[in-house]
Amino acid sequence: MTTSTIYKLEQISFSYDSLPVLTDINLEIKSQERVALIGPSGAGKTSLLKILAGLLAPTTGQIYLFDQDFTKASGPEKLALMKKIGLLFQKNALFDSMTSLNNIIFSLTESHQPHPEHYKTLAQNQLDLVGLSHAYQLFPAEMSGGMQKRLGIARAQSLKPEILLYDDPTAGLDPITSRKIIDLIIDLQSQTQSTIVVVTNEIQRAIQFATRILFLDQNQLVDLGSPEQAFENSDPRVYQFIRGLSDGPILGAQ
Amino acid sequence: MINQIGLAVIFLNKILSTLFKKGISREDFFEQTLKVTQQSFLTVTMAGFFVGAIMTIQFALQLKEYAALAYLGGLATSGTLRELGPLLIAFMLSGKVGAFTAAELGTMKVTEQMDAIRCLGADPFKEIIAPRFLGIIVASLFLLLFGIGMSVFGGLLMANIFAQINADQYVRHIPTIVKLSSIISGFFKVFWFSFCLGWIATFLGYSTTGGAKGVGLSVVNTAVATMVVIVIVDWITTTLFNSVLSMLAF
Repeated sequence: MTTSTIYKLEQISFSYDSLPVLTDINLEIKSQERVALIGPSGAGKTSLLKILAGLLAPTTGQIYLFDQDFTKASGPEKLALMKKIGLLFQKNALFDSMTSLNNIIFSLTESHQPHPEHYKTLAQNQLDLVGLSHAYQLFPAEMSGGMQKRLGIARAQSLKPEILLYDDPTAGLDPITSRKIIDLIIDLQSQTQSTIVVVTNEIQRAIQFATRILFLDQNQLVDLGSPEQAFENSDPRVYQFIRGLSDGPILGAQ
Repeated sequence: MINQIGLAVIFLNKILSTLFKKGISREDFFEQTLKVTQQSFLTVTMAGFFVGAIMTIQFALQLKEYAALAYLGGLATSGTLRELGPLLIAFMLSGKVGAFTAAELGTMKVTEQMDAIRCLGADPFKEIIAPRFLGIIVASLFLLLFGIGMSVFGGLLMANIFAQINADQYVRHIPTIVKLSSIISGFFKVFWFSFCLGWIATFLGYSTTGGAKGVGLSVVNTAVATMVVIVIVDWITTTLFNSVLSMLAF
């Protein structure tokens, strides 16, 4: 297993207007790692994920992606780097005016992949991979929450990215579907050897797939290490969050 | 307000640099132009016809008192071509095309579909915004011209029904009253109305934030802003055009 650095974040801070969301975040993510990003609601997990995806620009700090300065990359360079990243959005962000097959074909077309004559076959293969081959003619609105997640994953995977970012892939799903989605993510990761970062609030799911857990709270990022190490962490905030205790320093959503 | 205008100018600059430097797909452009045309064809046909009809009836009532009905065709056509035709049809389009575009782009924005496009390594301005902007301009241009044509037809029909003036009598004085300047003025206005419609609708749609309520707000703001801007642009173009004409006359 290679351990080259994929992401290197140096002193990353991010604010919405004047409200600080992330402060002095330092982070390194190695190739083929499976990272879980956990933390209370509103802690800034989605913002951090969008910064990793290049959709949000940090207020200060540097991000190095494949040793290239992602924060200073110009238009075409940035777009080229962004093509190496697949992102599953929290609410899927599927193109609702298109069938599931066309959602994938659109991705291939817009990213100007070679051999347009093979787009349909490639898209069908992606749907097969996520178990949606029977639903190729369905529109997102005609699909269940689990199917929409699968389609979102298929679309994120369609460009064969080296990095996959998942924003709460099990949100709103029942425990069985939720487990199946995580199984699918692990299965696809082992096939593609990609690096994945998953935002989740479900500790059981994080333990199921992660090789490393990161805890984001009060604008700060704490590396908890492996799931076993995370459980042994004595920080009262981490202790409370991982065990889902109502009493403790974290007040939770009011 | 000033901040919004500044952002709208930056947005327009981005669209124009996309159009002139990067270019857009011909298919995307034709698709958008066709979509806008199909959506609004019936509305513009009806609006154009009745604008012409109303103008003719109003002019007929006035001219009858002076026994000058022979000039009905020329006056009604001139008025429609220079002023009321472009203005009223542009209002119809702002409600139809403007609101639809703002709602479509706004929904794409709040459901993160725009971000999803960026994640594919594609530029939303190149793939989504610029083709819509240009599509709205070209389609509106065509629709407005067609609508003006319909208004002339509507006027001709009403003249026949209400003032017993046949087609031959109606069109006889059109060339004497409708000068080349009237036609150029109409075209000039139509272009700027279309341009503003495309600009405002795409800008407000793309700037949408805050879910369903935000989309609703963008749609309302687009309809209101386009109408206000169209009236202002109408005043500017009329004043400018008349000044240029009087300068040329001397």
